[in-house]
Amino acid sequence: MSAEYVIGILEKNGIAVEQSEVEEKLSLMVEQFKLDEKTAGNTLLNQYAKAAGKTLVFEGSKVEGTVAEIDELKDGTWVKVDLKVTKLFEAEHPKIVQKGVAGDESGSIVFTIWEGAEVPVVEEGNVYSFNNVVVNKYQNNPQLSVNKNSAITASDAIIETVPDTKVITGFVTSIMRNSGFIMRCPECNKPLKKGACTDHGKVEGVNDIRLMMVIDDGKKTYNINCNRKLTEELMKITVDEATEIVRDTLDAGSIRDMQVALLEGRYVTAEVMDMQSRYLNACEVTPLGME
Amino acid sequence: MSEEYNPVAARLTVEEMKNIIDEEIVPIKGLDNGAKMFTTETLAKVNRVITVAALLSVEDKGESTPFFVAKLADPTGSIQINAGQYQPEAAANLAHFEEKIASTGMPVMVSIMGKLSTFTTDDGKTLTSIRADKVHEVDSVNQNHFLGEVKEHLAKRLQNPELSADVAEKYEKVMAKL
Repeated sequence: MSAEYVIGILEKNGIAVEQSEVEEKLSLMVEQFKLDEKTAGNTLLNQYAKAAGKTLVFEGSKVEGTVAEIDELKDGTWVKVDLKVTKLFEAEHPKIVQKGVAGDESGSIVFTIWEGAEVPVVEEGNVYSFNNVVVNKYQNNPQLSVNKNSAITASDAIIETVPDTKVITGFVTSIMRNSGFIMRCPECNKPLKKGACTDHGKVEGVNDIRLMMVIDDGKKTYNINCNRKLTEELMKITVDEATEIVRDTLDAGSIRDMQVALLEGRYVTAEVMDMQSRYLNACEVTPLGME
Repeated sequence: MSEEYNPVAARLTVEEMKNIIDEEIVPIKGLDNGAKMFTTETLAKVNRVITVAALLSVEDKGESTPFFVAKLADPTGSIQINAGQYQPEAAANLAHFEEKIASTGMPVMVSIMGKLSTFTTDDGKTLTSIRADKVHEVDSVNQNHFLGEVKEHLAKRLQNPELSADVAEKYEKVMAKL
């Protein structure tokens, strides 16, 4: 990062500087403080910006994103994709303008429109061209991030149906450690950790059973989550029966052991939500064979 | 192993497992150790394997700690699988199957999840075995589904233009056995 570059950026942002001053400061940082050129340049830019009371605008990131398919989205890439907005959520963060789900025939993904993005308000049911949005992870879930470098325009693309669910058949490679018998907080339903809720402290837990497993279909691995009802159906026991087993054996892991014996190492067919998400909720699971 | 690193397991024929032409260490994001990646003669890159095949025999060859050595066979050939003190679940199940085979005189159909391991003998031969992490008994419906997956994956591998004509021809014949 040279002095010319620094001066160039500052000029673009309406901050006038002396060439010699910039050069002197840069070489001082590099020689005396042993900073590398990029760090030195950035430090200097921040100093000048702060003194001028401005936020710097950089050029060069308005690059056209590559066109992509929903199920091929790679973390960290900038993409252009036509999607139909199917759901809008409450934005829980003050810097989020809009948040929702958008998809096409090959699946869906969460999108987030951040403050600072110069884009129109999107509406449910419409198809938009999401241009130059970045694929990244928020709380470990993949999403499309619409920021100040992105553009959203109305699209003529016809997207008939965005599937809610998809069916996958795969090999159960493992039953997750947190699968099986758990106790939930009566206030917020979150699983308790050592008898306490992270939000509500020590509470009287509600018993529950769930199944969390990893399925490998030869192309991808999926983290599948089954709720109480589905778990009861698969295991052919109720939560109350499971609670009795845990009491009799004094082993909370006994329910997970039963799940391992039942499902690990076999093929299952699962109908799951069609989303690019870390965990997929299943609405139906059928083990193959083994009657 | 961190839960994040969960690569897809290869669907190979035993014949492919026994013909490894290369191995390398691949770094895993977030871990100090790397993963051993083998290349089969059909140019498949393998770290984890899944197989559903017939368990023919099981023997505990361990001295102070259990070390199970078993013979596994699919329609293309047989291979040795091992499970020792560091694979307790697999070892326990293999012990159970040893009894079952002894009492019924018949093989047991099992699914195996594990990793390939190679050993070079004094006369330069490379022997492949599977270090089994998980072993479970399954039925023929599961085996048929697995063989369907193997056929699909092998067919894709045979379309690789980098395969030599000899290897391609050999595996056309192997495919017919599935």
